[in-house]
Amino acid sequence: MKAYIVEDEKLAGNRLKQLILDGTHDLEIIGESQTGKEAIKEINSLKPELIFLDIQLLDMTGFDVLQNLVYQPYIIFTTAYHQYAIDAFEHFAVDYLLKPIEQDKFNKSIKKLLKMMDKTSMQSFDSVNTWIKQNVKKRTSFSIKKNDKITLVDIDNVAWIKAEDKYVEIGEKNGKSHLLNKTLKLLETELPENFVRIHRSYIINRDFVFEIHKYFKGRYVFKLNDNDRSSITSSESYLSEIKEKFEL
Amino acid sequence: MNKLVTYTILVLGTLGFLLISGLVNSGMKEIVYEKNGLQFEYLNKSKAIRPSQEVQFFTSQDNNELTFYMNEGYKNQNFTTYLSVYKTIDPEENVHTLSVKAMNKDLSFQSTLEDLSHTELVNLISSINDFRGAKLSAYTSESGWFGYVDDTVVIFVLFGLIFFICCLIFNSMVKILSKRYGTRLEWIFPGTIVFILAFYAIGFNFSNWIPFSLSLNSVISFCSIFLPFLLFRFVIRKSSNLDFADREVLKFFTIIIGTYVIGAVLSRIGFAIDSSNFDNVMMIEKHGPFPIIMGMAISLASGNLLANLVRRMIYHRGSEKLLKKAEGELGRSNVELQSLQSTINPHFLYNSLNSIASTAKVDGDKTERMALALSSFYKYITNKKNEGLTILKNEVEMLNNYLEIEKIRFEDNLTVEIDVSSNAINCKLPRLLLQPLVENAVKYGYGESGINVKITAERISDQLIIRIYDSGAEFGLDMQIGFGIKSVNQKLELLYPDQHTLEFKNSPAKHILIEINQNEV
Repeated sequence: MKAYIVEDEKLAGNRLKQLILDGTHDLEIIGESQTGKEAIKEINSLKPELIFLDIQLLDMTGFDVLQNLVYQPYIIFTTAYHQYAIDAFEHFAVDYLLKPIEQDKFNKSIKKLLKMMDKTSMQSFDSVNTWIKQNVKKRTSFSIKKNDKITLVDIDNVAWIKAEDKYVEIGEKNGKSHLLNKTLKLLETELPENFVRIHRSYIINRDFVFEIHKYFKGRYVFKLNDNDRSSITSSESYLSEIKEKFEL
Repeated sequence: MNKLVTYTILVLGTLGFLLISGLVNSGMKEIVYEKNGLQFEYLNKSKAIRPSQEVQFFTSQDNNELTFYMNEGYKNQNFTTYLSVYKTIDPEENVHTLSVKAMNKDLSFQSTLEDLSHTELVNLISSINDFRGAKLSAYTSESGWFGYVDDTVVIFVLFGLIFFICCLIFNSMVKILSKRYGTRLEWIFPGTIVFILAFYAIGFNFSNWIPFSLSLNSVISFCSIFLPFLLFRFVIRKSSNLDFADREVLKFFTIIIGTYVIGAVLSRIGFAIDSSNFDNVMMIEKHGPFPIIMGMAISLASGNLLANLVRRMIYHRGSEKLLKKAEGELGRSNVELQSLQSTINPHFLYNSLNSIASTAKVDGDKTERMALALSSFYKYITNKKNEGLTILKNEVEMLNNYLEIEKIRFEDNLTVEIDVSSNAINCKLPRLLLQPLVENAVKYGYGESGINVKITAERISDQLIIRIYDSGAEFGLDMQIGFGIKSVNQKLELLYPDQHTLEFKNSPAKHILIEINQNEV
């Protein structure tokens, strides 16, 4: 079987070759590259059946490489990465190999691949990408651009987000606020769980809420313990969502 | 709390010095003559500095004449100046004329005061005051404490205040400007002060504010201020590692003692070269511009010190409450810091071990180097006894270990340059602040010519400025902070709330900029 190695470190690539040799597998390495750009070009022309793919490449991620392939080879991810990313590989890839790679695990992985080749039941890459976007790429920060510099605001420091015409204003816990060229609707999909929409133009960070007062007509007043002690009133249309998130 | 005491002492000390600087220059007072409820007083301006000066006055037997003379003893020379007051009466027109004369050597003369009225005496005194070399004032016994306060006190306190305001404005400006344009601008403020001082000293000698006339005195004035200024610059540079209080005290005494020593020596040399310069023409008696220069130096030193204190207090928003809060947070932050530090990215370890496994069978040397670097690196990380802060030297050493591993992993693809200026090497910063940022630079630094990472550090006044460059694609607005940068951000927030900078820049080259105030914590 023809195989191809995409590894940003030469040493890691050598390690794989060594494992193939020692495990006496019927694999022929037809190529190897360290960058995603080179990998896409070569894989698309050489059409190997199996790719050992590192997640973090020098110029892009392994997922970006997958998106640019014209056919669907078998993939074994090699990585040292996060648990939740590993969950993704379990769902969609043939297998993943955690670095440092052990000979036993490597052999098992190849066996699993051979079994799978009979069934040919791999999920499409599209669903992989959707999954990654939903589960891995949650927003962790906001980039604030001023002149030629960018500062990053940690999402854990954001107490509230407010819609302002075509912009959104985000309020930090220390009382600073920033304008972002985004819509609240778009932003809402990227935010982690602890952000709750309570009003047509307000999203608040649940972690900053320290008091909730009942208002009339199914509305609530949320008091936040940021520097300004912000107090934001919810609207009725978000009642059910609020009740669920705040267990009211 | 300890710091608060230090600052209070500094403030009181400064105010005291301001007052003393005036008093030194006002000298001592001796009442030499009393008449008609008026007291004649000789203000010996230089007495505090030169104790050899004597003032004598004589009255004639019938009490009609008043003769003053000052005897100033320089080592080998004797100058005697007689100030004489006399009254002439034109018998035909019955007009009283008052005359004052000053003469050198033994041309003494006499004058009668018998018939002088109160107004005439006051006029007489004011005309004597026009003479240089001595000053007479008269006051009635009711004039109170302020009667004793010479205008020089007021002048130098006033100058202290002016310098204080100037320092306040200029030092703040310099800080802002130097942040943007680099160290060169640090010279602007002290340079301006030196220029003004020299201008003042020179101008004062020639009373009519003639700016430049290259006399011996102007050279002395200029050098007495300029040389201590150079010394001052040198001290600032060398003292960049001291904390705020020590540094300010050092600056203060450098200005004063530097000016005193250099000014005295130069005045002495000037006197030896041309003693005539120091005599009759000089407003500032026989010492050249020395007392003025000294007074100015003390005013400048005090003004500068006060200004820096006030700036610092504004900076801290002045209140003890805030200080306490900060102390409380520091205690809390140490706990948080420890937890932050213990959780450094484990993937690096796994990747490195994978590389070691790869080289183990083929390249023993490389394996050894890598294993040793890795062990040094983790030894640094897991060092528990160290608290939140370290000095840049240690961080750079750690970075070298870290980059040694990365270089083995990425071979020719990775080039690293570290440029730390010598004044920054002992600056304080949170432990393990830079590693996640450098790791980030390596991770995202791939460009056309491989991964090029450059780290620079310098100190500009109170700021430690670190830049981490990489050759990768520019920072975009869609970037998200990962674990590493998040921890860096948290460390800075904990230890330097609102007093730090963490910026991602694309111009002039892609880099991460960190600024840490060295006065904090």
